[in-house]
Amino acid sequence: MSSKVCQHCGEPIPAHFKNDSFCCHGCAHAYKLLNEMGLGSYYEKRTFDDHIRPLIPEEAPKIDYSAYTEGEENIRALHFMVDGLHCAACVWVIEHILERQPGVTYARLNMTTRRLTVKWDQTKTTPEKFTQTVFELGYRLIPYNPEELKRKDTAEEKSLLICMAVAGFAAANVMLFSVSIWSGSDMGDATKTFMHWLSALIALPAIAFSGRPFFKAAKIALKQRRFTMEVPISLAIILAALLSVYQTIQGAAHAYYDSAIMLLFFLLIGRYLDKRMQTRALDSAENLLTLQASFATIKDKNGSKRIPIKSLKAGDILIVAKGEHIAADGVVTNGYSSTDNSMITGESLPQQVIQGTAVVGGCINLEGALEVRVTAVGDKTVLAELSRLVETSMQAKNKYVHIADKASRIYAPAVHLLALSTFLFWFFYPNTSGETAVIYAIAVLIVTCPCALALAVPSAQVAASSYLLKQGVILKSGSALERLKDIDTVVFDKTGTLTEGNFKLITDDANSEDLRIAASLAVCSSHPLAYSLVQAVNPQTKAAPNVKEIPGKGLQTTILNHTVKLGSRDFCGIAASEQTDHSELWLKTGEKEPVCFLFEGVLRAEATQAVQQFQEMGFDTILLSGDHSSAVKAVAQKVGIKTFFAHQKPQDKQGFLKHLQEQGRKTLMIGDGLNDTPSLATAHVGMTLASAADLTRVHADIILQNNHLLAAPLATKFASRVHHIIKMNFAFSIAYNSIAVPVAIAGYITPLLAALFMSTSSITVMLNSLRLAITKQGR
Amino acid sequence: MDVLIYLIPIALLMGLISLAAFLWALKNKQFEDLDGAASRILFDDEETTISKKEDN
Repeated sequence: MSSKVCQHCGEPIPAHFKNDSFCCHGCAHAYKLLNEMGLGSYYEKRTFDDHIRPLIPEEAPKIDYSAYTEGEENIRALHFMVDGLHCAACVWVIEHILERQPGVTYARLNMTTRRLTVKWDQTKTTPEKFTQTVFELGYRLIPYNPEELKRKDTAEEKSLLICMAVAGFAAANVMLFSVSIWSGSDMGDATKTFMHWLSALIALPAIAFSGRPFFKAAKIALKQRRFTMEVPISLAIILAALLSVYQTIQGAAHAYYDSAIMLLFFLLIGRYLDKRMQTRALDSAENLLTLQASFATIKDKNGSKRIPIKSLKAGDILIVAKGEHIAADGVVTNGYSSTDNSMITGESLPQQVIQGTAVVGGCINLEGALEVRVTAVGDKTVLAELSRLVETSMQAKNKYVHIADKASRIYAPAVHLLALSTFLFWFFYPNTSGETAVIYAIAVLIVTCPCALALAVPSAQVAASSYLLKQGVILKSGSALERLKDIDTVVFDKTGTLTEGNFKLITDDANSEDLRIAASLAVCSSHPLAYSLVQAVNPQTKAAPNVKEIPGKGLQTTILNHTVKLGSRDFCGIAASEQTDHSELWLKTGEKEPVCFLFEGVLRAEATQAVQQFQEMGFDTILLSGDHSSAVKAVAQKVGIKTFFAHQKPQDKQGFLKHLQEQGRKTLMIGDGLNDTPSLATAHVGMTLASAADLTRVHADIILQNNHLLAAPLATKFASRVHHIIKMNFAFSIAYNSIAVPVAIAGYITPLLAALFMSTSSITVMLNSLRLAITKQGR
Repeated sequence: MDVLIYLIPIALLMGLISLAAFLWALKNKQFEDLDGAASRILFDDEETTISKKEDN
């Protein structure tokens, strides 16, 4: 094993690289640069985050920043999304290195949103200059237009927070007077009325201000003739306030200012938590989307330039370097190489491409540089086709009715009916005035008001999502957990999900001399089979001299006057025969008989266990893959999945899932390829890994951050626990209501009782939800 | 009971001050980057100030 790691990027140093400290010149340069600037302590402070791209120093791309730039005459400003942020030290070093550039006047990086704002003096520096240093450290800066990202959601979240603050302030102060009234039994009537007026002074403006989110929503609902939760809420708050004013004018003993404002405060907490969940989910999706909106290099008169992928045109010649994504569908016009199509098709082995081969946008170029003439852009590409499949199924998914909405559909009419019958009962009851009837009816509305009910779902969800986040599970949609508890069938993808994408050498009778020679050639290639061979033989293998890579075929060199070839079957001069169950590499040394090395896909360590756990929970497990049937069969047998299908195109996978849904099955799809994206969107719940393609992550409901499959059954179990807690919360609030409502109908409710019922039920519900956040692992 | 004349305004004033402080903090983007703020405090070290002085 190579124990040496690069001092800058922390990646292992390749064995053939003659340096003990750095893995490449870029890293060495970055290290020197930071130390020269006096920022060397960065290396002591930082910690690496495994699921974030390692730091790879690179040239800053030549981007035309003018479209994104804003600000006054001289001081200009740019906003960037930062890719590769690992920890707080990264924030520190980026800010400092920017601020030390001459001409940069301001640099502030928000660690939560990963967005950076830079201001600079136009006469002294240019964005090209100052971004270069950041790229040299290995971070990437992607400019974005803040106007495009500015949503009304964030503004709404903020205004909810302000409403909450005002309501909280008012509730606390009104309660101060209420407690004095309740406890001061010897208080004179005049003092009491004075206290009521003071309460009114605080509560009424606060209600008018903080109640707006509910009043507005109720108004819209009434206009559309719908009954939402906001209608009884608004009615209760407004009536409670009006009744209190009336009582105060009459000089009566009871006023409900405290109930009204406290009700509002609790409801706003629930509403705010709910909104925050949504915004967080949207934020992560947006970050992904912006990162995806990256750039491609095309040929032009002066050589090459970087342009946004959005502005690619058919006919442009793309230059795709080794290791880069191909930005659009096209035909290879120059160069030969092989492409990793696993994200698009699910095939685990690279495909050979030569001049004239059609390539699909989204594939990764593995070997030599390619020139690709773009044939389709925008809507016409394979990627866009996938996105369309995704769109349609997302629309279907959005129709899912949340449990909270279901509850309010029953709740709202029931409450109004109850209040109305209370009024009618007392109105026709002998010896009571119409006034009393109205007061009792309003009291019913106040005590039934769904504080606890409104908190039941959001509080449980916030607690659950923070717990799951610690376990490496990111919930991207608010209803993901709710849907996850319904599932009965789990569908897996193979490549990248159950398998790692690496291969294992399974030929164990090979001559050790042959293995050594093969490894010394293989070390020069980035082909996954070659990599696995080197890992199996000796990761420290030194490269053989003068190895030539013949893209798409294999490697070749001359050792002791013998031509040595390592590569595909026909490259080594063997007639193609039956396809075997395994992937293979052939070695031909001089005129000797060629030697064959067999490989098989490496399962993720926890794949079998994860599948087993799902089976123990009683779920059907199915494997769908775009790979060859032999490879799929081998994996299915290993992990113990009985139902499997090979050669599945994205549409086939999606069709299969649709078919399952039509049978009434609720599916959980776990996949990581672009080819899985439509099925992830179709499935009842779509789950993906952090290593998946951006588009896939955007459309999944749940992301497993550490690529750890066991988190999937964990989250599934947890989802039913969350559901249990939510149901318990509902039960609590119904139980409270079933005590409080009869008391209110009978006319015995006092403001003190109302306040007690309201706060105890809300607090019980919140504490109950908090149990989710402190769940121990393994429950 | 005369003491109420002082106590009530004082209580209200204190509440109002904290409300104003909260709204001020919100308006000044104090809640925009909670993760960053938590770590930032650990990183303002003398190293920075020294080199800044050298610049001047």
